Amino acid sequence: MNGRLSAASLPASARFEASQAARRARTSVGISTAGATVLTPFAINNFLQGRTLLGIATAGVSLCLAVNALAGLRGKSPPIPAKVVFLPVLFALLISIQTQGMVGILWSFPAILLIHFILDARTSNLYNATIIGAAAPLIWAQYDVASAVRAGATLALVMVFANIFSRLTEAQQRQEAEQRERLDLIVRATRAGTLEWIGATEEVTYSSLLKEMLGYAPDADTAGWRSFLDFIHPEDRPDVEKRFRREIDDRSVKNGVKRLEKRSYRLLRADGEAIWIQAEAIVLTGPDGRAQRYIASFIDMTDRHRYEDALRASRDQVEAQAKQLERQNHELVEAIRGREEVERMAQHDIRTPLNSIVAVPRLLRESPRLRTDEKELLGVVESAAYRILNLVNLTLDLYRMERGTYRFQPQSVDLLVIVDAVTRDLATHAASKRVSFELRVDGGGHDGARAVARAEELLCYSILANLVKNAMEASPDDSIVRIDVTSGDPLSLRIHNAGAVPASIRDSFFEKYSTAGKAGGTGIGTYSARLMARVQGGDLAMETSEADGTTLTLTLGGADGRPNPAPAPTPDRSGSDPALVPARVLLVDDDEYNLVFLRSLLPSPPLSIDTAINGRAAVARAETQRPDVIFMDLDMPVMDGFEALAEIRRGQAGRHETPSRVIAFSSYNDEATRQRALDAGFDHFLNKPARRRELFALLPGAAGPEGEVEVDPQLAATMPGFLATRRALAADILAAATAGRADELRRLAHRLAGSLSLYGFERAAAIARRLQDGATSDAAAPEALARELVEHLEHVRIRIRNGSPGEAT
Amino acid sequence: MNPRKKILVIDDDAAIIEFLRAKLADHDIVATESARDAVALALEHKPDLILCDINMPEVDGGDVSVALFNDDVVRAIPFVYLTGLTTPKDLGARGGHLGGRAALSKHMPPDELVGRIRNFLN
Repeated sequence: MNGRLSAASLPASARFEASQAARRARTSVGISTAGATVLTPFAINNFLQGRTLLGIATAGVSLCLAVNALAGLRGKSPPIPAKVVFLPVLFALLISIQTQGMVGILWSFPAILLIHFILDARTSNLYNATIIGAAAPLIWAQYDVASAVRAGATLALVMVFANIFSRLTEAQQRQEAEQRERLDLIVRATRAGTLEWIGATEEVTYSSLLKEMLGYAPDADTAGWRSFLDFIHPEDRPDVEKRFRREIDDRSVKNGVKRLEKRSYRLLRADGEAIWIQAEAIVLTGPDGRAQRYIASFIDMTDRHRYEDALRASRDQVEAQAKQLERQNHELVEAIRGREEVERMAQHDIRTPLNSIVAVPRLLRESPRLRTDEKELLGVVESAAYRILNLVNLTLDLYRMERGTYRFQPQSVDLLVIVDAVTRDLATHAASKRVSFELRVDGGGHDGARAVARAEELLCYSILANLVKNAMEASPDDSIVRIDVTSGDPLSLRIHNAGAVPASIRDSFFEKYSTAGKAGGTGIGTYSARLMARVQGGDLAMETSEADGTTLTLTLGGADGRPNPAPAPTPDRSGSDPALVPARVLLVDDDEYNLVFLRSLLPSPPLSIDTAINGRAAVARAETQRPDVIFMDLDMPVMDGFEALAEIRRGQAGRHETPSRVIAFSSYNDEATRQRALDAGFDHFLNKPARRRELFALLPGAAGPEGEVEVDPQLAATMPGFLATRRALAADILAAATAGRADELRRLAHRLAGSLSLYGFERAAAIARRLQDGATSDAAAPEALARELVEHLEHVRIRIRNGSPGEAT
Repeated sequence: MNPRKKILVIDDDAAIIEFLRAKLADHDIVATESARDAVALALEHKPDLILCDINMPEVDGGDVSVALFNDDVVRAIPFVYLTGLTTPKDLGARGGHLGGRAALSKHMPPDELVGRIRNFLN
């Protein structure tokens, strides 16, 4: 095996020729030895018998063969060429035939075989033909033609057989060589080293690759090597050796091949480094089941083990990071949940009871038995509760502004009205410091002037209350706080006082918790004021110096519309109630005070009022009472408002009843809740606490199935035309619904829904949307809805926002 | 505050056009109730923004969008669908886009809608 692999650089055919030549050399040594040994006695005998010439020839052959055999045994190439040997052979044969007749002919047979085996095929055939050609005439001369022919034929036959034999052997050997060649290729390609152990001799052959794996040169001499087992890592060796012995000793398979299981262990290289290998082996057994050969292949797995180690390490790392992320995520979720909980708590758990505190004094004050001073005291309670409610709302809004989730809902706000209210609130306080306020609009007086901003009233109130109060407090005694308003777009409002902001906090003036040690100051005022200004698309800036005092400049977007009415902290009890028609109203709320309060606002008769304490109770009442209008709280135990609405709608559709008008009535005042309620199919969304007017607007009144619609002043001019086209569309819708033309109905409803919602006709838009979605499975329902839509649009009262209600024509 | 911009509105409902004229009075509104005129008007007026309804008879908003996109001159003009087909919530879930174009829902609160349109102008 070693020889073959060390000649690995030669091409396969050349390697085969080389191996053939070597074989012939070995054969020729054997034949030469045998020939010399056999012929020598005959040569001596020839001399003794007086056949001198024959003796010389025989001795010549013998001598040549002996010389070559000796050289061959010493591992050298034969000194006498085969061609030279041929001459004494031919000479001896011819003399023998001439002198000894038959004996000479007999010698011809071994001579032909001799020539065949010591020379290559072509030369030997040529020489042997010469022998036959020379012998035949001699035999004819001595005997007859027939003998000559017979002798020639048998000699030729021997020659042919010898050729056939050689060819067969050579073919077989060539085939074997090719197989080995292929095996070597495979072994080299898989980078596997091999080891072959021969049981009879305990001899071990290492392939060159295995030697390289073990850290030796590929052609290293393995003769003096220790046992292969010594290469195994000491920690793995006992186990490997035990298995090896067991496998060798197992004699269950006779005359066959045992395939041994794969295993991985470490080998120690010549340089002491350990490598991981995967070993695979087969054992060839003899007739007694004893192992005759053990052939093993080894693949170096060190790199793979290294990758696997690295992989394992990085997987561990990734797992650790994932765990950490998971933990962080969990903490984050907890934190968010905590914040949401706070918001929720503020929304519901504080606002709901506050609503009762606002409502109950209001109810009590209506009692005719109260004295005026008692009414005033109740008024104080009510306005205090309103202030707390506003504060809670503001806190929530600030929280949303900080988180960036606040939705700015601009209105037209007259800042002068607010400034007026703010300065009046501070009047007592200012008087004690002898500080006065001076308000100028566009450089002049403010009587009859207006400065309308695109803003939110409550936010403006909060900003100005804060800034004016700060300015007043920071002013030296006996000084003036000047408020200069410049109208337009943007609109600016400057508040000036003679005091300077302390140098230490000038840079951090608008930062959270920045305070100059003011008694009771939280440092949140200026921070939130700027936050509120920015949320409204404006800004707040400060300039200060010892010489000029301090000026705060608030800028806001201007608006040309008419401003909203000033905030009315006391409930609006004035004005005539719209005439109500008899109707069944169901109030649903889990807070009994809210039920009491609502009931007190709704006159009975003409209304008949029923109440339910949660969604499930509401569903039951709706079945028996068939209410026209339902005011439904959203957040209730047992069954919430959304679920109850779905149940009620389902039930009414099933019973072919005209759907109730269901109003979501919630203390959540955020846009998301409003949208969610409208998406869920509520006809309206109303915030708690509601004013009487807002409630009445949703009740079936003398004016039809809806009170009035508040319209954007900018759209006022379009109203008559808009109403006319919408009424026409609604009539078409009713016609389509009556005729059951579903596609047309849906198309018209779609068209109507889009525009109605934009013009603020929310109730009508909701009906149109329901018609458009075809949400009602009941065939009669579209017609009922369409009729409701027509009636609503026919009788709806248009109130221009901030203006007085007016009948649309 | 802002320079006057030109807006092309395509909607088969005149009420929508009137609404936009009223609320965006500080800008020039070019409008048509017929989607067939859209490309011609866009070429003639070179508006700063195109607002287009989707659900219209004969030629719908999608056709208008394609026609405008296929014209090298008007392709670059910002185009926004103004549709009543979806709720603001559904539209939000689609990232405010329909068919690869920005879209606004007619069902969103009117002031917010106008604010969004103004944002598109800036």
